[in-house]
Amino acid sequence: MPERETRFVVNASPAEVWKFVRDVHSLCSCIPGVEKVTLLDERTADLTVKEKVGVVPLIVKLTARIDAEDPPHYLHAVATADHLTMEIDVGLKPDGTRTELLGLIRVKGEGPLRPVVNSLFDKRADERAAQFAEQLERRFGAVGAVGAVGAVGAEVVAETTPEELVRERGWLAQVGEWLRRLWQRLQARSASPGK
Amino acid sequence: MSYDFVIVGAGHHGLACAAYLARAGESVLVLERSSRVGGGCSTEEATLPGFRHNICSVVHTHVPTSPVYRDLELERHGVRYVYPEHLRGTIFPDQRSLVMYRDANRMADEIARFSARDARTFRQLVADYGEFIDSTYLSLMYSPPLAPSLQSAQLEQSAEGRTLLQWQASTPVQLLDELFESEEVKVHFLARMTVLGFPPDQFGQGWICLFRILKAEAPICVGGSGSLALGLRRAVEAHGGVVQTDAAVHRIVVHGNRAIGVELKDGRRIDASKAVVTNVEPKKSFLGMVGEEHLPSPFVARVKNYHSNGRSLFVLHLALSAPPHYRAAAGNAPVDLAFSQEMFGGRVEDQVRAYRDIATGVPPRMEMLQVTLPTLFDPSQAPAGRHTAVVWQYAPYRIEPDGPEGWRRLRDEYAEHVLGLWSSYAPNITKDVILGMRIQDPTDTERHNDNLVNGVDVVGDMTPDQMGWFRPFAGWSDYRTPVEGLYMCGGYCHPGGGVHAGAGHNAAGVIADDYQLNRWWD
Repeated sequence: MPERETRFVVNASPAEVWKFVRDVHSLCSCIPGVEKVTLLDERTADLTVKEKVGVVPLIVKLTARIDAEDPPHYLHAVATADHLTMEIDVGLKPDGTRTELLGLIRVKGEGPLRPVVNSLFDKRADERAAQFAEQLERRFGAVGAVGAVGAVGAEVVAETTPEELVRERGWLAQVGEWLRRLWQRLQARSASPGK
Repeated sequence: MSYDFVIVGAGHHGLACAAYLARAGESVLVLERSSRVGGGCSTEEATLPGFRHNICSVVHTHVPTSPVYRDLELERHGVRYVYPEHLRGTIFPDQRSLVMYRDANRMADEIARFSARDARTFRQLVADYGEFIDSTYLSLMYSPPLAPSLQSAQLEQSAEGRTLLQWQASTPVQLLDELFESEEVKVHFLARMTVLGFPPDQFGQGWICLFRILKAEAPICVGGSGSLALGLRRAVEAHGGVVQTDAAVHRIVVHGNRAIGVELKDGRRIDASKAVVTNVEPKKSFLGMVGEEHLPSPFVARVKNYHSNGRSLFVLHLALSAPPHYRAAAGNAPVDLAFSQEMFGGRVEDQVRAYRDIATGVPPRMEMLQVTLPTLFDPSQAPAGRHTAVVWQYAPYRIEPDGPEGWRRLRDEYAEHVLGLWSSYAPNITKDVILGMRIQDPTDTERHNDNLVNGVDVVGDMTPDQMGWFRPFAGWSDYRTPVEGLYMCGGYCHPGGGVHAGAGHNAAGVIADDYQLNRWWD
């Protein structure tokens, strides 16, 4: 499954960033290609996304749902369309008066369009993440990119000392552990009789 | 004797499919009727010792960038490619020429020698559609075909998409007339279609034409086309698969509605505990090896209607003491160094008329020539300082009024005629330079590989009714068949003829899904 990780330092507190991330309309205003947002309930929205490939626009209609959150630290959302499923993890980490934002996106093409979806995501993800960072910069003021965007496992961290890198990975491990615990809780719930 | 999978035919698709399945841990047997593997990937000393000639395929445009090359680690199995700097050189009767380059700016500069407006159009096409083609074409080749409704549903939503749909519906000639003004530029790009067997005035092929305008590559397999087949064989055997040559399958054994094995012409019976996969063209596979009695009648009707009536090739394999020097090189030196030289007259109408002549059984008298010297780029295919050349002239399989037999009477005279046409462009090609020659008329091509019915080198016409979701038949383009445990994987399946191993790759994916095998390549 193609995936991309991206990190930004946002010039705002975790509470402010959380408010932004949790507001689908404001978040989508920063995501390139999102043309229409219809909020279905507090956690669910229909999105129309236009992705231009050359001059040819591909129009994808997605339903996105936040299915887990731990304010103001972590959010997990799943967006589905006819031919793809996109999982999004957002983590927020205080950094002095600022907030470091981690985004992890996994896209899984499905059905006959799977190879096209995967190929397009591979080609476009880095560019789109950079545009997202620009939008955040406009919204919150000065933003420094901590890490370059890249495939997970081939992460390039700019201007980061080895000690900082260890700390970054420690934080990533914490998010991973949180996810693991959440998964176990969900599994336990679904396995419990009477639930 | 029993294997999980038995694959009928060791063409490159069959070998690729087998290699994927073998590496998934399945026991695999590939059975090949002839004494060599590769089908259309065949290299042999056709003229003189040491001169290695590519009997069918010469260039493997998509293989080096394909998932097959990467997944099966073909480089590790001895398959290597070289890339000519100059791709195809179209030479016109007035000895001007247009050379194709993979770099878009260089290509635009070349087009500008004929028309500044066409050069601008080309640059705009690259900007507008280059990424679309890059993102979709290979992905769609190496996956089962999309239903037409799925393609149009996405494209019809925008003006740009609707333009693409309109182009897709048009003929190559119509599209070229819409895009370009220079007759030479149109001739050059039209040749990019007709060399693949696409008729110039066939509706429903505009999208492929656009791809052929925008994308160019000419990788040559080091050691000859047959080296790819040998590498694929090694990939099968490296994972425990077995390849048997001189093992002709007589029939595919069907019990109830399930393929359970094969029976060889020598009487041996080999069981397939999971599936049989056929790399053999549809009529031989289904009417010959399976039998109509095991198939639903609508499917039988489709098999009987599968057609291979398009243009064939009249081929000369030549051993040369020196490479050709074209008159056109005086004005455009790279022509001599290009992967191929193409001489198709000076007007679009020339190719259209040639195809019409061919349809009525008349071999064209004017040049419809493509010449390639693999040894310019891979000297290993001939003794030091010598060269091999393959000369293609578009030709019919049947000659009026004698049918295929007509070639017996015509072939020597036609070979002389073709050489005369060639030497009118390359005057140093005289009898002194030609050390040896083998004539391969369309009936020889079919004898060499009878999957190439009627000498059609793309295993069935590449017409809209036999492409994509319709190849080989609507409703059966996902490599499955009406018989359980029987799959298809030849060039008669999507993405069609040519050497790319797409059908072998895609069939392996479908089989892996059906039998819940380890899709190790995903």
